[in-house]
Amino acid sequence: MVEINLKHIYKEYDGNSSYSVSDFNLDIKDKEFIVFVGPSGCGKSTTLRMIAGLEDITDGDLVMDGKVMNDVAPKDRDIAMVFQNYALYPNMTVFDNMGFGLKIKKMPKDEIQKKVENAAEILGLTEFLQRKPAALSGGQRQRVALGRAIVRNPKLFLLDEPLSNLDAKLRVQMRTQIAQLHQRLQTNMIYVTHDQVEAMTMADRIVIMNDGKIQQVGTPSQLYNEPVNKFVAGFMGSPAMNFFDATLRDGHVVNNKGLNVVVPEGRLKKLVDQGYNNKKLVVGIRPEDIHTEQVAIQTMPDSVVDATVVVSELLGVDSMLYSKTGDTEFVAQVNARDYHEPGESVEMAFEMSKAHFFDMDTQLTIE
Amino acid sequence: MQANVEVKSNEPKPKKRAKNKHINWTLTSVLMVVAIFAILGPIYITIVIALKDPSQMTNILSLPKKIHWENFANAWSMTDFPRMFFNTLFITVVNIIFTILTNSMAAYVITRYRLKNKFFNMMYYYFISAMFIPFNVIMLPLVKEVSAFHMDNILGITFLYIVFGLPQSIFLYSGFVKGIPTALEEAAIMDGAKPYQVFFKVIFPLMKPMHATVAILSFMWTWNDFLMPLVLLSDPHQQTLQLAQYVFQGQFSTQYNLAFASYVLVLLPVLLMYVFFQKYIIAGVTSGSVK
Repeated sequence: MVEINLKHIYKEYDGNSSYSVSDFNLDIKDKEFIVFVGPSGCGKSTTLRMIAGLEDITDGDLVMDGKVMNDVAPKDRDIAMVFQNYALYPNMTVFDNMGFGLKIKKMPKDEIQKKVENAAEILGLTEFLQRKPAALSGGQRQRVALGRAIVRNPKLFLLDEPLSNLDAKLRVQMRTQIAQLHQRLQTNMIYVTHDQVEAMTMADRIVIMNDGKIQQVGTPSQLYNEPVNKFVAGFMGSPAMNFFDATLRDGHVVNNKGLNVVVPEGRLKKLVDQGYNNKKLVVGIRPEDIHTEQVAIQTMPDSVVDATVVVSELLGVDSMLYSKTGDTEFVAQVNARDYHEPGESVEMAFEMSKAHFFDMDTQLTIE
Repeated sequence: MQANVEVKSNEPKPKKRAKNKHINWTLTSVLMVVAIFAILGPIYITIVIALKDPSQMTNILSLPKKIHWENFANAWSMTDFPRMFFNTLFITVVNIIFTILTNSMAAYVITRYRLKNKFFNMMYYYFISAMFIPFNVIMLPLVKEVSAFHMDNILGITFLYIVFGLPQSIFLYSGFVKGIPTALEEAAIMDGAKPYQVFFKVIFPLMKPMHATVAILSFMWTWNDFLMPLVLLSDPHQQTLQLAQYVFQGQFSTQYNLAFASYVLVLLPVLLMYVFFQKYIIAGVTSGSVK
């Protein structure tokens, strides 16, 4: 229910010579679910805290519905925030925790009761309303933290790594619950995480950050399929994309460590046109684009390598083959039926039509 | 084979543990007996003397031939017990209330800002350094200062207790506040709380274990203090129970039975408080030691 514009936002902490966040530009549309993702220390939480008003903005403008909010106190921004460690008031019951913001606003008691009970019902917390946070499990605490945010009916939700303290199974459950909540409330949400799976599954748009700068903004599929640089390509996807430093020579990408595969015509023409012939570049190929099935090996005979499996992991549906060709190491994600024991020699086909090429110096994608 | 190895490796342990337990138990018992005599001995002497008449003073350990309950009544009236009790209680209670309210607030602000702001860091060290200045050093200047400001009365001394408690309270509270995650305050700020609401609704209730520790230490200090009332409280009507003992002893230097009866009367409120608040006192002391 709000449009947010972040215009050239910078953050510099006292005593730090470099910016923690620099030139952050983003327009967030009404009802959007935005996820900030990136490694630890990339500035995503700092940006979120600047939006919340918990950190000052060093330079730039934060605009909400056309109004500059830089100097507006957090309480007047109509924003609710869910913290990583839940930040529930330990001395209050679940009911009081959820109703705290409303009580501060001096809302009538019966109204507070109605709102809290309503939120508790949505989140399945009705039976825990009189308990103290210490008597709740991690998942329940996280739901109370969510409940505390939703009772206030804010314009914008900020969620700062809300699931990182939960175990893997619960994280998946809560992920769905948050996504459902977004659909139900139709309110803007900005969600910070370092987990690219959370980002991929929940976001309308992902903002991927590194070293305080936005690397790319786009839908999950854009970021996965059309990464603008090596960082984005490597960050999105699990297991991560395989990268090889190689040279483009006679239509092949080769390195001196045993990699030698053909680049398909269309891709090759673009690379040659841009002057990469006989030049070094970085080749990126996702583990799922390396195949061991006979069909693939027969259809892509020019990009088959002889590999040796070093470590193999069976994950149920898939298996991961950590392999080597010459001295080049890579991971292949293949069907569980194609599981190979460590030490086995296996022919593997690199689906080069899906490969990504990056400039060696700028690390940018070669379009 | 494996089972054998396990049994072998486990064998010496229980023996060693049992031996240790034995040694500890003997040592503990000896120490406990010594401690019991060291603590209960003087209390025994105090109580038996309080119940004797002056003629029985030659053997201080002997039991009274006849119990003289009237010693307590005499001590009560001679020390003006009700008035002195009220004075001491007033100083103690007001001191505890204001110490908890103001010192926790000061400690909270100093602790939260001292890493960001040099002034607050300096304040922290300023207060902590005061812990190392003995009262005797500032005693005489303080007397002059207090009389210049007309603070040589109950209200004045109560104020001084609150101020002099700051170093220790800031030291205790700040250790505790460090352990309270700042996310709680931020959550309250996001919920719309103003700074005083953040403190009183979120932080202050969380400090409860430390409030207990500070309250107990303040109580013990104020109730038992002799020196500060001695040099500051000149009006006989405004004196404390501890001071009354001093005056009493001067008047009846030969009547130890009355003096000791009076000591017992002074001791009773502290003992009663311990009995009633034992749970909180132990919890308070423990939490203080951990944080």
